[in-house]
Amino acid sequence: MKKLKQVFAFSLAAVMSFSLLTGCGTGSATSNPTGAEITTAGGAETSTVPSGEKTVITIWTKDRHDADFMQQKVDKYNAINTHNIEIKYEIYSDNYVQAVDMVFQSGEAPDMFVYQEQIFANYVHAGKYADITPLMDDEFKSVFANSFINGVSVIDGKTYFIPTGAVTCRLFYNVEIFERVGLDGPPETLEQMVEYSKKITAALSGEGIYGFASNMKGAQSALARSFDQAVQRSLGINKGFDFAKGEYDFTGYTKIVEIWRDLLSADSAFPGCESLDIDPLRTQFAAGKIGMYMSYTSAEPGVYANQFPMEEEKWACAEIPALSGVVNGAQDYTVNNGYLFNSDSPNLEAAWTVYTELFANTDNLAEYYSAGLGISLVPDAIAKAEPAQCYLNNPALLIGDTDSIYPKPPHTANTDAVIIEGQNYYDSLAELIWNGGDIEKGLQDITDRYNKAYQTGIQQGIGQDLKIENFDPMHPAQ
Amino acid sequence: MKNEIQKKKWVRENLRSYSLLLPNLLLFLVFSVYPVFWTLKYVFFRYGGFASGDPVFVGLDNLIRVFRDALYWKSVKNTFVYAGAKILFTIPLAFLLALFLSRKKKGNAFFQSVIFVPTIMSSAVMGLVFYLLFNVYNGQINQYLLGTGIISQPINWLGKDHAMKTLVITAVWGGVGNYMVYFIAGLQQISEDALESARIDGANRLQTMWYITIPMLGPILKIILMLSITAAFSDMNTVMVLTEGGPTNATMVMALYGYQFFFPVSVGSVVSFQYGYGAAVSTVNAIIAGMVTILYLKLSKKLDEVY
Repeated sequence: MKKLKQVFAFSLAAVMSFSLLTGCGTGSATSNPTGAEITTAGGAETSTVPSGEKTVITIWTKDRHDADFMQQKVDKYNAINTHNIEIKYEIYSDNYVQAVDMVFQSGEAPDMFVYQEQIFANYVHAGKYADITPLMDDEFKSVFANSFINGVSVIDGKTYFIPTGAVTCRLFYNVEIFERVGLDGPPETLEQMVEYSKKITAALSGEGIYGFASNMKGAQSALARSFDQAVQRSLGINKGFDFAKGEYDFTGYTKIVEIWRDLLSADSAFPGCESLDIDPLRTQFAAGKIGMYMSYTSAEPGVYANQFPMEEEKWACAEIPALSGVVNGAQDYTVNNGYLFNSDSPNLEAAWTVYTELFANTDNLAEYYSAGLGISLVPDAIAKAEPAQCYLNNPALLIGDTDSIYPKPPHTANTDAVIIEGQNYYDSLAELIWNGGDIEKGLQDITDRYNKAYQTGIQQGIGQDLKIENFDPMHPAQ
Repeated sequence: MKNEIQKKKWVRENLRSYSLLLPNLLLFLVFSVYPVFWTLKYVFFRYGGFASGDPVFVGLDNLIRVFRDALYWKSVKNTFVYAGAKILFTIPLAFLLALFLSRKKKGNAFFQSVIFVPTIMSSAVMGLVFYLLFNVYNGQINQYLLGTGIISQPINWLGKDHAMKTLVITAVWGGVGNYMVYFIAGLQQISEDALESARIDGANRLQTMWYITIPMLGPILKIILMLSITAAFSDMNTVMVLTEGGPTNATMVMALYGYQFFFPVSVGSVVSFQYGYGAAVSTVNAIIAGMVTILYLKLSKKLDEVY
């Protein structure tokens, strides 16, 4: 009996040890990386595919706002396509970047990924994405002519994705609040924005209504959708880098920092902006407690239609004002709704077929735009579409003549080339805004640190000198 | 022959024990020991992660950068403040709760369970709930304080002036149940005879607690304090959810500072992967925490001497 117990104990230990080792083994090609939240849009069940019959194309996306629309299209395509292809469309909610990191490291990357700036920047130079130029025909190139953007979708002559949408930032304001305090339109200068905010707070703070809010819990999240754009329009500088001089120069930001200090002061701003996150901000805006804030054009219409319902006539948007109303630069916009192709995928041609027939189908793109799910860059899609009501009510949501694409500054073009010591500039600006202190000294410190990191990267042979001769901030894409 | 017999005896007595320890040992080696050596290796390299190419040897550059990084030393200072305040409030409160609830009275088991629940809750979930409660505009805490007239203006709990206090309150709430249970275990080991003798000699409750109970808790108090120090120095989850180390790094702690070089702190944050520097920060964190622990163990030797 004693010997039996010993054998049993030893076997148990061996089984437990063995199960640890096999548990760490690789799973199937579509196994879910640990910790990543993965859903299939609409809860649609995909049938088990016996191997050798259908070509399964796996596509990852981070977007939830269009999940139902996209899954409907995918299901229809799976049912009717004649290429024996099945699409698995997988949504990664909040940890898309981490999930992509893990699958590239484990060698289990899907066939296609929705474009996201950071995953693109992290892996394009490592050769993880396929150059899709050889797969395109002349008709495709003609239809999507607006989407070949040097430095964005085209790097060193190679095209990696075709963006079909665009997103920029605007000033969103509550029409009702403005009417109540006698303001007959959005502010046209940054100084006027402060004046309007203080007027609203002075008149209505007793009812819990305040002039301006910003989601400063994360300084980068807040200032990258507001401050950066005000600087682009006022100074023609993108994220601190002056392309004309070929160096970082934050010293011209003084007046704008002073304005932001005023804007976020107690007699202007919604209480608790220091710790306010974007969704709580939107909740309060929808509840009619905030006069103005700045955010992205791609998300807000959907947020107030579905997530935090607000009657469409109660909100509007306008261009972000410039200092004294003088515009010295275009406002940057970013592209979206592109798809990257895994260069190691064994199904590249099949993936391209799926892409052209489904995701680059101009009828589908027109329908997407009509549904108010995103702003289109594709003329053929725009011509076919009936723009969603929110775009008709607020044409400022669309990409306009004052919007353009800036070249990427060194610290975002190649993150390895510019290693900043200390805080990033968003945190440093937030410190100047909240903590007071000498603004000029603070801005000079940021300039010195960023230039030091930039020059170090060039000396180490990792970074490049990004000075652009005759750079015109009003037309930075040229 | 004699050695053979001894060997067989050793195997007979110990094989079962060691084989049952084997899974835990494997887990420990893979998930605790190996990452330490992985981290130590990258201290001497510049490495931007998988996609950035091969690591580049930089010698002591990363460690030198740690010592000139003012933000890192601010996070060290914040960690000492946070850990000190957390321990200062958690340990006495846990002890008092243990003292009241260790007696075999009706309802005590229920209250013990209720107070222990935060220990098994996710600290990230806890941080999120407290974020809503402490919201300056419409959080329940301000609403209650304003409604009862205790304050006339809402308190900006998560602003730069009060964020650290709010973090400490959240941490104390989350940790007191855990240490209460340790104290209860310690109190139950105290001899009833010693307590009875003190009562017979005329000692009141306060004198019994001060001269008998607390000294006899010495050994377990030493362990509790050491656990609370190491836990406080590695606390990160609640900070990440409640404040993300802000506003303006007012609540940035050592563990979170090192973490952000490997992973995004929040959904909107963009990571500049610096595995080498992050490894250097983590190594210095471990050295500081180790030095504090060693100092504590030296100073706490007296707690081993029980009457």
